[in-house]
Amino acid sequence: MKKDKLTILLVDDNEKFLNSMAQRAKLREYNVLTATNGEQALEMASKQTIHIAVVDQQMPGMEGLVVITKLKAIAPDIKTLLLTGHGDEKLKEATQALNSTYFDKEDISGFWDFLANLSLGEINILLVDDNPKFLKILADRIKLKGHEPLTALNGKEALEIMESNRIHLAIVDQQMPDIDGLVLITQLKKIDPAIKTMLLTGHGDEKLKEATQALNSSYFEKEDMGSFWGFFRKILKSLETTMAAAGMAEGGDHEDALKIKGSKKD
Amino acid sequence: MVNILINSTNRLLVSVTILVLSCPVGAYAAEQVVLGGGDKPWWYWPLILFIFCFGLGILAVMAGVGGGVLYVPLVSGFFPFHIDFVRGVGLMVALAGALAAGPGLLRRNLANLRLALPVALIASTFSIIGAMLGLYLSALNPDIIQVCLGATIVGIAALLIFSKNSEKPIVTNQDAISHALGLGGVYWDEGARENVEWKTHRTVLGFFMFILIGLVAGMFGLGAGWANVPVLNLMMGAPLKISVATSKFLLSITDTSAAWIYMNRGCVIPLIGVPSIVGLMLGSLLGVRLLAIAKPKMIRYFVIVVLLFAGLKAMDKGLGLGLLG
Repeated sequence: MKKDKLTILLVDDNEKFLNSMAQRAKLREYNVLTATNGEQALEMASKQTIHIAVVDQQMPGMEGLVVITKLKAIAPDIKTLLLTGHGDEKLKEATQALNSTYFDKEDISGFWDFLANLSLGEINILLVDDNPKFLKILADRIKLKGHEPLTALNGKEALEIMESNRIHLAIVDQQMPDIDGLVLITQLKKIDPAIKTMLLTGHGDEKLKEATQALNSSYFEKEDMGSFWGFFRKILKSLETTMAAAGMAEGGDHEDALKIKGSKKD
Repeated sequence: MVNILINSTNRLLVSVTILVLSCPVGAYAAEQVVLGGGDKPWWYWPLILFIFCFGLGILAVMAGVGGGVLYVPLVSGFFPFHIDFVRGVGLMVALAGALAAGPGLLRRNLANLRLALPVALIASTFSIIGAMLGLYLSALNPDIIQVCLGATIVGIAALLIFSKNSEKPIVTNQDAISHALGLGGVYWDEGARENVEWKTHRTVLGFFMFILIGLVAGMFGLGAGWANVPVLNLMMGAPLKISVATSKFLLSITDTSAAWIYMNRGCVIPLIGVPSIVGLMLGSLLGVRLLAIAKPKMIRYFVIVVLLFAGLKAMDKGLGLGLLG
C-alpha cells in the first residue's frame, strides 16, 4: 500500500535523463535504484527485491529488451517498462510479448499515472471469512476493482498465507470458528506491523468497535442492520416474496409457490 | 418430531376450517339480529369480517382458489351487507392481492408482460362495461345480480373440479396473431435443468374469452384468476406457471378499471374494505407458511364444496325460494 515500500529500478545510459527520472520518482515516494547499463541492473536485481524496472531500449552493450528478459528470469514477478526515444511498432509488439509495458520517451506524460496505477495493482489483499459464499462475493467485488485478492476460510489458513506472502491489506471477519477476528488482526500485525486491517462483522457492538480502533484497524458491519431503512427494506422484500408465493398458490400452482418461498432463504 | 409437527398443523387447519365454517353461521344468526334492531357497536362487523377474512386468506392459498372469488359469494351470502358493497370490496380484495404479488412475479420472470398487456387491454375494457352493467342491473333489482352471481359461482365450482391444468401444454403451430404480438418466451425449469420455450396458439379465441372474463369480473367483482388460468393454460397453451403468474398480474390491471367504477359510485366502504383486505393479506401470509408443511388436497375439495354451497345459496336468496334457510 505504501509507495515507499516499492522499489523501482531505473536503467538508462544517459545519466542526465536517469537523474531527472530518479528525482521525480523519489518525489513520488518510491525507493529508487539506478543503473547505467544492463549488467549493473542485473547485478542489483540479483541482490535485492525489485518491484518495477524501467529500462531504456538503446544502451551500449545489452539492449533494453534483453535486459528485461534477463530481469524476468531472475525475478519472475517483476513489472517491467521499456522506455525509448526511437520506438517503432515492432519494438512495441516485442515488448508486449515479454509481458512488459512500452513507453515512448517523447511522450512521458502518461508514464507517471501508469506507474501510480501499477503500484496500486501491486497491493496484496487477504480476505478472511468462514462463510465461503460471502468470501466469494467479496473477492469478486475486489476483482472488479482490478485486484487479485487471496482468500482464507479461517485464521490458521490466513496466518499461513501471511507467512509466505507480502500482504498489504487484510479484511477479516470477526466470528470465525478457530481464531476470532480481533486476535487474528493482532497476530497479523505482529508478523507485519505495516499491514492495514479491517474488521467485518454481522454481530458488532460498541465494545468490539472500540477494541478494533485500539488495534488501529477499521471496523465495518456486514449488513447495515442498525439502520432502520435497511431493516424496513428487508421486511418489504420478504413481504414481496411471500405475496408472490401466495399469488402463485391462489392460482393453483402450489409447486412454484413453494419454490418462490423457498428461494427466499438463499 | 415431524409427526408432532404434522399433527399440530393438521389440528390448526381443522380449527381454521371450523372457524370459517362456524363464522358464517354466527354471522347468519347475527344477520337476523341486525335486521331486527342493529344494537351492535360499530366495530362488531369489521371485527367479525377481519377474523373471517383471515381464515379465508389461509384457505385461499391452501386450496389454490383466488381470494376474491371466495370472498364475494361467502360474504354476500352470510353477512348482512348490500351486494354492491360486497362486489366493490371484492374487487379491492382481489386487486390488493394482485398488486402485492405482481412485483415479485415480474422480478422472477414468471409473469409475462407481452402476454399480459394485449389481454389486459381487452379484459379491462370489458370489466368497465361489466361493472356499469352490474350496477345498472342491481339498481333495477339486486336479486338479478344475486341469481346471476349464484349461477356463475356454481359454474366456477364445476370448473375448479373438472378442469385439469396442464403444466407444459404442447403447442405445435403458433398462429399469426400470436407470432405478430410475440406471445411466447423462455423460462428455466429447475427440475429438468433446461430452458423451456413456449408460445401460444388459438390466440383469437383466447382473446374473445377475455371479453367474457372481463364482463364477469366487472359485473360480480370476483377477480378472475379462476378463468384466466384455464384460458391461458388450456386454450392458449401457455405453461402453467406462466399462466398463473400472468393471470395474477393481469388482475392488477383488469380489476383496477372495474374497481374505479365501483369506487366512483360509492360502493367501496372503508369499514368493510379495510378489515377484509388486511384480514385476507395476513391470512395468505400465514397460508404460504403452512403450505410448506401441509399437503392441502382435501382443503381444495372442501373449499370447492363450500363455494358450490355459497353459489346455490346466492341463487336461492335471489330467487326468494328459501330452500337453504
